[in-house]
Amino acid sequence: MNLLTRALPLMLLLLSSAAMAQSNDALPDWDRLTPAQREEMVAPVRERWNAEPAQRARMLRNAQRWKAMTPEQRREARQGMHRFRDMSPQRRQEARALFERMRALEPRERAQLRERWQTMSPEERKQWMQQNATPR
Amino acid sequence: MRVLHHAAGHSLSATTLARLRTARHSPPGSRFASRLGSRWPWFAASLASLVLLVAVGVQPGPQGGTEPTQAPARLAAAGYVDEFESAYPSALAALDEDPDLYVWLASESQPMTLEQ
Repeated sequence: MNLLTRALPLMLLLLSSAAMAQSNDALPDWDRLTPAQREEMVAPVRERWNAEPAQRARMLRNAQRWKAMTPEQRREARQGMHRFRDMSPQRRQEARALFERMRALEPRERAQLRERWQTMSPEERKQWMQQNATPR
Repeated sequence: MRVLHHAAGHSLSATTLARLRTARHSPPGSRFASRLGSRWPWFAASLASLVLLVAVGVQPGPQGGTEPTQAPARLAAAGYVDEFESAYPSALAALDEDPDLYVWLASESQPMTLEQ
């Protein structure tokens, strides 16, 4: 018992020191990662790249676009990404099609399409999608 | 019972009996302090360690607790790594779609009932 009362504070001090070290231990910059750590980070992208040759151009184009964005654009994109992630697959398809269509329109025409979309029935939206959505 | 108590009292040393007597006649607070005796620094260290452990355990994550707490995934495609990617749940999701689609979605205050 006496040993425990003497050892307990030491154990707690060691535990708290370890916890503090863990919480403050930030991983280094990319150049200072170990080859194994880099491999873990790159592996998912490489697997996707190798598995889907048809998507390579799109992936590279998107990566280049991310790189060219300003910090503010990236912040907005991150918000939109969260929004997109929470959508159903059907809503995602609609979002893609609407975005592509609106990008080609003038501001006034965009407003018209936005207004029109709000009033469309599910069947009308389905028809609009068939006419406007481009396959990925 | 009284005989047993008497016998037990006789089996204790004089020092122990004196300590028990002092403890019985002192107020509760000082009884605790006297029990700690010279071990109070250890007690204080234990208490401080516990407080430290709790403080470290409950501190919020780097995203303030609002973002998903998955391990950061940094984009490595095209030979670069961007800091913003550390906040993403998946680097692959960032490559799947046109980033401008995400910007557009964020700009739509009324997202055209897309989420309905």
